[in-house]
Amino acid sequence: MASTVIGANITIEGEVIADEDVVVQGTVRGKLSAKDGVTVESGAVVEADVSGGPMTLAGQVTGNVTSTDRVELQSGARVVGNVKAARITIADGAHFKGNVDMDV
Amino acid sequence: MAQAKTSAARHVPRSTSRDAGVLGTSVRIRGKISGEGDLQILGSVEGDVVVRGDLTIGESASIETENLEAQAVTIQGEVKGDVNATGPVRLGRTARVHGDLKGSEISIEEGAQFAGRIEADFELPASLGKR
Repeated sequence: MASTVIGANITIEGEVIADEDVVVQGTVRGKLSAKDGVTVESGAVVEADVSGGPMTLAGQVTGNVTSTDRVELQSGARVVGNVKAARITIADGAHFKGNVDMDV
Repeated sequence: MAQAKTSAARHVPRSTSRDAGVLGTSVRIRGKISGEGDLQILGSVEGDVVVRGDLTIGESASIETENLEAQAVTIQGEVKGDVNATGPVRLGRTARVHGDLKGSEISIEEGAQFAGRIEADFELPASLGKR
């Protein structure tokens, strides 16, 4: 029920703030903050610090990721940056370089 | 009103769902948006918007821009800044536009608020063009 979709051919350079789910299929450079879930689909490029609720990452993310809930790195994801979240899963086949902070 | 309908009917939207982008009502963007596909903006944008496809600006949207470029542009919301369309520009009933409009054809529905200049590129009929 995501109401915001940044399509595959869309590039946003700057700051994106959303109170709802955000699905990224295209490119975001700058900053991305959502109150709710963030999905970075396979093929998407995010060069930004990302914050929000539950996150599903399958694309390329360069930047720090902060979630109030869980972060899921799916197979094929490429994440360079620190991840701060209550829960994290890294699937077989996901690429990840950075620190994990689970706030224990 | 009739004019608006004609222009909307004449323009056949290319619906390619994969290319389409939607920026929801609660979304605020400060920066530049560019792209090849169609885009629908329902939230608020501060910055330039340059897309190759069609641009739809919903009633809930508010845009402050230096430059807004697209093919067909449909505006139902608030726009402050210039609109440069290669296709038709349509201002719906709820549109509030402050800036110049450029497009292949321009239509303004009853109820729309508009302050600015209109520049429409069109070819004169041969009989008029020769004069």
